[in-house]
Amino acid sequence: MLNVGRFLLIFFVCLGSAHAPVQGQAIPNEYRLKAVFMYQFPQFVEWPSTTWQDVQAVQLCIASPNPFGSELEQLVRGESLNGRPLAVREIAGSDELVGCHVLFVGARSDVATPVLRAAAGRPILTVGEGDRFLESGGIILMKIVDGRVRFAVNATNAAKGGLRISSQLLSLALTVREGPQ
Amino acid sequence: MRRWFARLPVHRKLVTSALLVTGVSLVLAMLGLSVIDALRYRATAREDAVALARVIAENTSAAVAFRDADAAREILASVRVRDVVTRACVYLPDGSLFAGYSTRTGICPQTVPEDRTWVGVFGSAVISRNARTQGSVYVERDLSDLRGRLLVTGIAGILMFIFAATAAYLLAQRVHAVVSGPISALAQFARGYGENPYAEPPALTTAPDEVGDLVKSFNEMLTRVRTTSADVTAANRQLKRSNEALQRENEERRRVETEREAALSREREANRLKDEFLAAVSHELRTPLNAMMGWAQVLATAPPSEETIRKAVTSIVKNARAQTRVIEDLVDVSRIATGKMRLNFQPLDLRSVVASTIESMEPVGTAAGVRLEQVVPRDACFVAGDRDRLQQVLWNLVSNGVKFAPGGGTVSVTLTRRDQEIEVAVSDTGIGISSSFLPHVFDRFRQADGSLTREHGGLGLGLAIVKELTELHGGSVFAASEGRNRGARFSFVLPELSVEVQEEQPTEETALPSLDGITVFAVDDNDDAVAMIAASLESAGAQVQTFTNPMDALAAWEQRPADVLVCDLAMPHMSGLDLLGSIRRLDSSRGVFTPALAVSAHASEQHQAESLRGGFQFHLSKPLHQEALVRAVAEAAAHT
Repeated sequence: MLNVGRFLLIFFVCLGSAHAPVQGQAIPNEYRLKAVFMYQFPQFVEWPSTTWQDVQAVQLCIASPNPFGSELEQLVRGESLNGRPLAVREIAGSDELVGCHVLFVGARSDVATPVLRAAAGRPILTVGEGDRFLESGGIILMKIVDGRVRFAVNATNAAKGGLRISSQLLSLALTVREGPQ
Repeated sequence: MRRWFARLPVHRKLVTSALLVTGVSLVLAMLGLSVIDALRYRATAREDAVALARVIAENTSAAVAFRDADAAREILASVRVRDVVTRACVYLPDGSLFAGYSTRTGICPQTVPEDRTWVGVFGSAVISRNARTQGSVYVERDLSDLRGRLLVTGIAGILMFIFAATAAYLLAQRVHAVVSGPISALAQFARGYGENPYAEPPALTTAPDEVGDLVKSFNEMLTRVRTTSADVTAANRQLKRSNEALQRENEERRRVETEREAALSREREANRLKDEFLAAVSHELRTPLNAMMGWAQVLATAPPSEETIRKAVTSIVKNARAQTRVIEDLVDVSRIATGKMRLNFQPLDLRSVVASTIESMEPVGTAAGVRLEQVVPRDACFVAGDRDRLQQVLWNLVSNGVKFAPGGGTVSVTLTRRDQEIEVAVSDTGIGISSSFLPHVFDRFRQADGSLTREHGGLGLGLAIVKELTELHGGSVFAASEGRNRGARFSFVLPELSVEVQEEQPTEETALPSLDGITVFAVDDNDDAVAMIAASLESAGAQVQTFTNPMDALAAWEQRPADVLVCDLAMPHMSGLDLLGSIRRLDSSRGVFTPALAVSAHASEQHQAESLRGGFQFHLSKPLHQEALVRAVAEAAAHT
C-alpha cells in the first residue's frame, strides 16, 4: 500500500456454487474457465484508435503450446468485437506477433520470455500465468485462487502499449499495479 | 336529506346550494387531477425503474461477465439510496439468479420472474456486451411516494375547499340580499298577516324579475283578500242583524201568543161574567115586573077595596122605581164604558152631598132595620164634581151597606179632610168580604155570590159605577174588610178644591111652577105614557090634549094649535121629528113658533143631540120625572 503507484490488491471472487460452469477434470476445467476469461477481457479494454485500421478480425494469439486446445476457438466462433470477428492463432515466436491484438502466454510456454518482451510496449493485451508475469511486462495475470480463476492487472504496462482498461474490469481485479515501474 | 333541504329557508338553500356546487366541483376536479397525476406518476415511476435497471445492467456487466457475484451484489446495494426500490435482481442468460438486492417487502425469485408476480412498478434491462446478451436486470419499486403526493394533493384540496366555501358563502350572502331578501321579507309579512290582518305590507323594492312579479302578485292578492274579507265581514254583520231581527220577531210572537192566551182567558172570564150578568139582569128586571103585574091583575079582576088599592099602588111604585134604578145603572155603565159619560163639574161641599144622601136613604134604612150615621167635619169640604154623580156614588155605597148589613146593624158615613184630599168612607157591620173576592169587588158584573140561589140581589154594577165615577172625578176607591161577618169599609178619595169657592147653593126646592092656561099637545103611541104625561101636566094646571096617533095630532093642530108640543120620537107611521116638521110648516104659515119637547126612551146624548138638531128645544128621557117634565114645559112655554 505504501508503494507509490503500485498496488497489489488481492480480491477473492466467489463464483457461485453448483451452477458454476466448471467441469470435473482439473486441467481442462482450468483452461476452459480461462478460455472464457480470455474471451471476456477484450471487451473491457480499449485499443488505440489507429489499431483497427484495415483490420479484418480481432486476433487472439496464443504462445505455443496452446493449453486451451480447441476450447477457445469454439468459444469465440461466431462472436465479434467492435463489429469484427474474433480469430484464434497460435504463435511460435515473436516474429509471428504481428497482427495480434490479444496475446496469451502460458506458464509452460516455450517462447514466453521473447514473445512477452516483444509484445511489451505495443498495443497488445497480454494475458499470462506465472508469478513474474506482471513484472515481465504482462498486463493481466490469471491465477487459481481457492479453485477459482482470479486476475490481477498491471495498468502501467497496459498504458505503455496505449491500452485503456475499463474501470469495471479494474474493480474486479485482485491487484492493480499502476505508475512507472 | 331532501326533506331537510326543503325545510330550509330560501337564503339557507342558496348558501347550501352554492357550497354544495363548489364542494362537488372541487372534489371532482381534485379527483380528476389526482387520477391524472397518479397515472403520470406511475408512468414516470416505470420509466424511473427502467432507467435504474439499465444503469444496473451497465454497471454489473463486468461482474456478470466474470461471474463475480460479490461485485454484482455490491453494485446492486448502491440502489439503497433510492428507498423506493423494493428489490433489484440480476439474472444470468440461463435464467438463474446471479445476484439480488432485497428489502423486507420483496425477495428476488430464483428464476427470471413472470411480470405478474411483481406487485409494484418494475423495469427491466438486458446486460449485453458487444451485442451479446450476458444477463438481465429486474428492478421493482413501490409507489409509497405516490401516496405522499396524493396526501399532499388531498390536503391542498381541503384547504382549497375551505377557501372556496368561504368565498362561496360570502357570495351567496350577497346573492341572498338581492334575490331571496325580498322573498324572506314577504314570507315574514305573510306569517305576521295571520296575527294582524290590517298591517301594511312592507315597501319592497323589487327588481323587474320573477321575485318582483311575485311581490306584485302577492300585494294584488292581499288587496283582493282584504276586499273579500271586508265583504265577508259585512255579510256576517248582515247575517247577525237578520238573526237578531228574527230573534226579536220570535220574542214578539211569543209575547203576542202569551197576550193572546191571556186575552182568551180574559174573554172566557168576561163571557162567564156576561152570562151571569144577563141572568142577573133578567132576574132584576123580572122581579119588580112580577110584583107590578100581580097587583095590576088584582086591581083589574075585582072591584078593589080602598085598602087594596093603596097597597097595590105603593108596591107598584116601589117596584117601578127599583126597575128604573136597574135600568139607570145599566145605562150609566154603558155610558162609562163607551166614554160618553158627561160630568157637570162645579165646586161643591161634600157635606151637603152626604147629608142629602143620608136623608134620602133614611126610609130605606129604617125599613131594613139598619141605622144610618154620619160623621162630618165642621168645615166645608170642597171638591170639583158633579153633584148628581157624587150623590149616586155615595148612594150606591150606602145602599150596598144597607143591603149587606143584617137587621140591627149600622152603616156610617165618615167625611175626613186630609192633606189636600177628602175621604168619604162608608163602613158597615155586615157580612164582610172574603179576602179572595176583595180585589174584584170593583169589577163590572162581579158579585161575591154568582149563583142563582144567592141571598142578595142586584146586578153587581153598583161598585163598578162607584169606581168609574170616582176615577172620572180624578179620585180613587178603596175597599177593606177584616173577613167574613166582620163588616166592610168602602171609601173614595177626591182631591180637595183648595180655592175657597162660594158653593152655588142649590135652588131651594120651590113649588112646581104653575102651568095654568097653558095648552099642551102630548103625543105618544103608548097609551100609558101619554096618560102619565097628561096626568103630570094637568096636576100642574095645564090643559092637555093626548094623541096616540101623530096623524090625529097633526089634524087637531091644524084645527087649533097648542102652546107646547110634548112628543115621543119613535112612533109608528110618523116619527116625532116628522110631526114636528109638519107642525113647524103650519106654524110658519101662521107666523108663530111652537116650542117642542121630545120624550124618548133613547137616553143617549147622540139621540138627544139629534132631537135638538131636529128642532126640539128640550129632550127628556124616559122614564119621565113629573117634576122635570113640569119644569121643562114651563120653561118652554116661557119662550113663546
